[in-house]
Amino acid sequence: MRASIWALVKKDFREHATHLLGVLVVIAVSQLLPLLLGPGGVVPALSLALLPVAFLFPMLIAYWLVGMEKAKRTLFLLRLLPLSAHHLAIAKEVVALSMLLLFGAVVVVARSLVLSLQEDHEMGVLGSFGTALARWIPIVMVLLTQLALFLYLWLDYRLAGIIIVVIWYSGVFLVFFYPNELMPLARLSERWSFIVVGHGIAVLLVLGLHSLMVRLLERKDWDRLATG
Amino acid sequence: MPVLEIRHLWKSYPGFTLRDVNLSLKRGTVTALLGRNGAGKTTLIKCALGVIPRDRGSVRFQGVEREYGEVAWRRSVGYVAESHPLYDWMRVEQFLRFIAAHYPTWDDAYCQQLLERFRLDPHKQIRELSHGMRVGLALIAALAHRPILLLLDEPMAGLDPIARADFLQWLREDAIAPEAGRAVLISSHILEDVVAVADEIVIIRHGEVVVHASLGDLEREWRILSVASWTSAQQWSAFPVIRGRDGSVRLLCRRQESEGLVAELTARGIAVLDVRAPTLHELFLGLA
Repeated sequence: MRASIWALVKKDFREHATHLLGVLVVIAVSQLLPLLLGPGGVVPALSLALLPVAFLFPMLIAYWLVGMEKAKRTLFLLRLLPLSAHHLAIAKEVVALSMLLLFGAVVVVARSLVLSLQEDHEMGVLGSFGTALARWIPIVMVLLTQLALFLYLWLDYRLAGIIIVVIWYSGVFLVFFYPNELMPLARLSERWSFIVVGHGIAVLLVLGLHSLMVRLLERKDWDRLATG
Repeated sequence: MPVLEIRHLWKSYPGFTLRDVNLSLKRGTVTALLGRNGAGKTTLIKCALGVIPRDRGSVRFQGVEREYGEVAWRRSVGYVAESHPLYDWMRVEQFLRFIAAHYPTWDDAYCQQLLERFRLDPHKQIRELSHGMRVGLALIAALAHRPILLLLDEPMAGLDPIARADFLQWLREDAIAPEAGRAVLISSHILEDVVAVADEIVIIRHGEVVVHASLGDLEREWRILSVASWTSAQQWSAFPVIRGRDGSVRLLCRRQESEGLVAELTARGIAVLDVRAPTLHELFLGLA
């Protein structure tokens, strides 16, 4: 079974290598922009700089891994393999998580580079929200990616994309426009007990979405679907 | 023991029901699955393979009941889907390597032989392959792990006559060779090809199996009556009526009913010109 999953992971990375490389370059360039702006620019705090565009990563990953397989009917080919829906979902999740890690790594490396080279840059104010976001962004991204995989599997890719955007910008809207109202929550989110419970709930949600994906993979006739 | 045994299989979709299907596929035989578009052939194959869940009934593979969701037994099954889903961006050899990773019994030497047999260049990109070559590739992917059950859903659709002849020759010589110990189920609309290879015929109509017998048995059991002076007003609900493009009219009935039918037609003033065994084409037109 491990060989089957590994073959699927390799296949997905080969299939999307160009897309992935393109996005990594765009991320790196966008993070290195302050270097091009010259001295005196403001480098926004990492977590806040990512906020408006972070939803794109789960969307892209889900579209590559699920939307395109649905559109080209190759998901049916995968379901014909002697591989359970559970293992197929795991393979997709492994690829998604790896891609997410790559995106994150490029952001962090590029950002560190900028900060080390441009000491005269003014650092954006991180504040409580920024600190909280920095702590929570990884698990939120994992959860959002899992949700995107499920939605792209369940729905048409356009509808799935719209739902992700709406969910993400609802959160962004709250953070930017109601910072005072959310302040108690931000303070609470710094407590270790809250972090542990919050991450635990997120992991349970990820597992729940995995079960739903498995159920969908098992129940639908993927040969009948012509569109992603 | 049959390789595959389907008992009382039911599957419903909105507007379609596969009802109480019973079928068994024996080693070393080719069974042809015939029926009109939408009759339920593909649904039956997918239910048998466990790609879609069945509502009721059982599927036994080599004598063992296979529940829906079990997938390990599929390592002994080869399936060529009507839609031939393939990764167009891959090269032929790359695709075969990807498929091979899922089958412990994959035979590289046999795969190479099949590539030569179907004249496929392993370095060619899949998007550059013709329809016939894509079918060939799907067949290689379904066969190189030496399955003991081969399910072919409309494999000859869209093939040119030479490719079809090659395919049929391969099916006769290789796919059901005694040493393979394999059972083959093939669905097709090309009846002349079916006659050339099939040992057993299954005709499915509106989700129901109406005939399951060897071609010889069908020829013995059914009769065609060619009649003259038939008007469009005359309907015979009890027997299927086959109208030819040349205006000829034939009735299909069971052998034991033929004498009574001849007498009844004669009594109604309809002359019976000929009574003979039906062709598969006539059986299909009458029953499917």
